[in-house]
Amino acid sequence: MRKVLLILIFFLSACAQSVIAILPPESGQSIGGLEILDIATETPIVSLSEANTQIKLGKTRRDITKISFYNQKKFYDDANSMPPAPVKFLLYFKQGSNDLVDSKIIDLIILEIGRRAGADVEITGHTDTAGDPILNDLVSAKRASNIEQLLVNRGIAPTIIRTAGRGERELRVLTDDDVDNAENRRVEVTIY
Amino acid sequence: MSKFSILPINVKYISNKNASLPKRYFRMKRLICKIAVVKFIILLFFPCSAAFAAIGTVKVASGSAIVIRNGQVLAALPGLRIERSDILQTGKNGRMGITFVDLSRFSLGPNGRLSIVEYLYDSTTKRGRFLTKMDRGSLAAISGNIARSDRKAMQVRTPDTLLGVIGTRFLVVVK
Repeated sequence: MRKVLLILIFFLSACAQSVIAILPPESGQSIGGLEILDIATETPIVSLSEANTQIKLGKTRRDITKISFYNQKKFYDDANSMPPAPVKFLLYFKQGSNDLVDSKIIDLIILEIGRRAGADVEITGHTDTAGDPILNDLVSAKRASNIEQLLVNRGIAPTIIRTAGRGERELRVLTDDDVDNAENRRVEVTIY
Repeated sequence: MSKFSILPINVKYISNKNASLPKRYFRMKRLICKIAVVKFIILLFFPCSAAFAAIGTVKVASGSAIVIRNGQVLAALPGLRIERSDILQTGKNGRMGITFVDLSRFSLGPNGRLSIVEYLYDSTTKRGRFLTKMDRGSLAAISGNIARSDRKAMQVRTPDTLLGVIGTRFLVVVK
């Protein structure tokens, strides 16, 4: 009986292992990868960045075998409860006002929210480089909360909306400091 | 004293790692206090519009899929908010898809169990820390802003390994 148990324990411990697979990134993103880290020090032992590979990790962390080519199609089977990709809308403002250049975009946003189960809305305001960076944080936050109010007025639940102001940290058009730019004065609405 | 509210989590984390470094510990503690005060001031100006605790939302669910929160079992239905230290669990035919606030996306396959150990995210700086523990099952993931901000910011722990996520699409299967 003890022998059987020992064999069983050996068998189970031999089975306890992880398989990881790395895929190419979604379009428009840089190639990433995974690092196998030392559990105590969190320093990388091995770096894996080759896309479409499948790696089996043995009992010892250094025991790594590349077992096969990983088929991207299989990823979509394994990931078939993957939530849909976020969609981003860009909203521009008329110069020196809070009026949208194209107000029809609000209709598209509301349509997209309705299409998704358990939708969330992230509204991020941005400014150009004109003015004080700290003040621009406040201006961008105000821009975002104005759009939030627009959506709430159209019946979107405020509980699914989050707003943030990123000031001049994320310019759409790279400019010098203190430059007026219509493309940088914007709000990004991400629906996920 | 809401400005000290982030202290317990951080102190615990630091004291685990640097138990033998009291000087560094106190220096860090002072730094954390400063950060906390700054955050408190920022929060006065930027009231959060959504529930503070939510770090993600269940988007897809089928079969037996549950979220365990403080010992309570919640049915994972689309729209359910995920909070820090939730445990996500699926049964034999269960599946669950979650999008986190940094736009990381997770798909947990059947017979899976995944705990959220740590999740910190600042939507203004798009930086944070995301640590999960994968006990069993398969996890297909697409990383988001947290992994993009710093190559040490996102980690997945399995029973026998610690993975650092640089990005972007990967699969972890724990047998």
